[in-house]
Amino acid sequence: MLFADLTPAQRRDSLASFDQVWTTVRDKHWDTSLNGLDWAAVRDQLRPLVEKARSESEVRGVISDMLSRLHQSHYAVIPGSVYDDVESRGGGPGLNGANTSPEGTAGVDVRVINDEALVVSVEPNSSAREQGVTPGWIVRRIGDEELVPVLRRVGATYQDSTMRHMMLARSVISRLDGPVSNRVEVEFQTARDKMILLTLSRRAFRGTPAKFGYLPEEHFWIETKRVGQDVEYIAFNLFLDPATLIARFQESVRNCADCAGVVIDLRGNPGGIGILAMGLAGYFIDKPDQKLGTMYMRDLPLKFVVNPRPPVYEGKVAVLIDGLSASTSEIFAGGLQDLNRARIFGSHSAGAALPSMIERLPDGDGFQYAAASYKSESGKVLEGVGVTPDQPVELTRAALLAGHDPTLDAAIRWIHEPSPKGNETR
Amino acid sequence: MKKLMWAVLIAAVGLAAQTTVTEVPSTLTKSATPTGDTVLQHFIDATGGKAAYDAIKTRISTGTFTLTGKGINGTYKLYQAAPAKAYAVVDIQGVGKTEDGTDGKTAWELSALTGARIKTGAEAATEVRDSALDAHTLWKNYYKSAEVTGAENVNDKNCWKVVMTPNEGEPETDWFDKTSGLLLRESAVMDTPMGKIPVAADYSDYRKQGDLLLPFKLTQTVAGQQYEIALDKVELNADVPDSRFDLPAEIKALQK
Repeated sequence: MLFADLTPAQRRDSLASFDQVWTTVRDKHWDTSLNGLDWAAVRDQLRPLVEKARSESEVRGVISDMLSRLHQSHYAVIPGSVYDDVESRGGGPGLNGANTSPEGTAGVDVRVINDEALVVSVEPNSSAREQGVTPGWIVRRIGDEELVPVLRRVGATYQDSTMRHMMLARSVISRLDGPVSNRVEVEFQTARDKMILLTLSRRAFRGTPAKFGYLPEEHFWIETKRVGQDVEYIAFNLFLDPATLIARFQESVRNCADCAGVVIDLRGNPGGIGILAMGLAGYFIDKPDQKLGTMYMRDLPLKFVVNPRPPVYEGKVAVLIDGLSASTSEIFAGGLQDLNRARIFGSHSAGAALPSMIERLPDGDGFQYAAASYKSESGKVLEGVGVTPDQPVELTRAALLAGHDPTLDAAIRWIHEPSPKGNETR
Repeated sequence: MKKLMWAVLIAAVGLAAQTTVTEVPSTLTKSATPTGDTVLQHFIDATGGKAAYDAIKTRISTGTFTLTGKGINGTYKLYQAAPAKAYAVVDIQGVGKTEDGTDGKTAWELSALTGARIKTGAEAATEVRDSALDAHTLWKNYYKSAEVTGAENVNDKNCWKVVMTPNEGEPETDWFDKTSGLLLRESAVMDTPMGKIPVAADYSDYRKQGDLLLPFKLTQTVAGQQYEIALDKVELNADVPDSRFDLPAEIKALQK
């Protein structure tokens, strides 16, 4: 196979990228011994191959080879084109050209199931709702861009990653979102498989703006409701805005002290402030010194210990997760699962329990790495592995079109089932 | 994380009497290594003297809390009363309060984020020790030994390094300026339910307050994260009702 040689500038950027990745691993990996790997020798062996590389993909291959020697899943090089696919939030195509308005949403949430971008929810008061978009419709095109090649590209890159579902959904949502008041053309496949082109106005995200230090402002919402007579349902989009989250969560759990069960819906929740996993777990754990797990940082391990918050809720607890449940959501769900205090429903989580950073390299590729490791109380590594539901529930287009939520339905059925003696809460 | 270092310092500062930096003892100017006792006495004398410390029965410290580089800040307030009662609260907007304290017997923490807990073992002993207003003048009541292990520079100041071994818990290390006698740095390992966490703290901005010389700034590093407490005001022997140190209802609930 013939390759065009890299230009001098590309060669310089390739070497700078290799060096950046090598140095980042050396300086930020949580295991300073790198599991006994002679990291300097790895550099000495592989850097000359970058110097001789004749294409960007060859360079990417050498860097990937270097990272593969760590045997850790959250260290990866992401091709520049795919990096743009999944990180272009706010860069979604619009009809109004350049816009400096705050970010907003088209009001549609999606999951990619069987290579199709399914609408799973439509926000009230959204342009999508007003125009009749419903769960189960398929997003086919956004602006001028067909989604099939995008999903194929992202899916191939993350083929073996637990973050595949997250990245696929993000590649769609990042195109739907954009500046508020901007409009976006979206082609949908309706319930009757008819193609329809709609122009959706982007509006402010659901919830209220929340800031935590210098982190970017995010919109936070929490929804609590009684399902039937005796099941309390709690959903929130982020572990953020602690003053609001803790107060509303506590109120909801305490008002349902005699309920048969509590459902905590973490589907789509990418996490937030890690310590809040312990804080919320305290409403369900009655013994002191119980741990959700341990975070292994570069300097020390930190145990995620739960402080009971009496009066502790004693009924059944169901936690709903999916491929977009990440970070603090996984620490919370995986911890309660290990402590035998909750039953987990849905699909496998993202396996991104830690702040997994993705930074742009000089050659345009993305470099993903994690700065710590995390093991749940039973010793399961969450990073790159994720939480496996006790009861997997498949999301189907047919169920969405019929207005069902099969994961929630399964949780409610379980809550109403008599439990085996000695295992009343799971 | 907690007021460990801060409380240690405050307890120390709550002891002295004289208001000016005293003459440096000859044992500290000679090249021979002094005893820990001598270095600690120099600190007490330099910050006011034993009589001034003994006169302090209550203390209220008010200031700000900043998580460096994170844009997270709030207010800080610490109440103390002799012999070893304390109540501290950090209130961060949008996050809530983190409180901790002791009535001299029970040490506790109450966090808006993580709930309530009663401290036990070495952690509880540290809380009570750090809250004692006489922790430096009567240090032998709280520590088995104070040993000078060498000399090191802290922020360009030549210091004696003193390892203090408490009656319960891990040794702490203090660095005292050889010339001024002031405590400039402290390090310890905090024994918490989350694990044994190394902590280092620098004390600075010493100001005269009544008969004492007190540090108004603490810069602490915990697990790679730095935070700062800067005091605006220190009130000595102000009226502090004993009920201030009552255990919160959430803590009492855990005792049942």
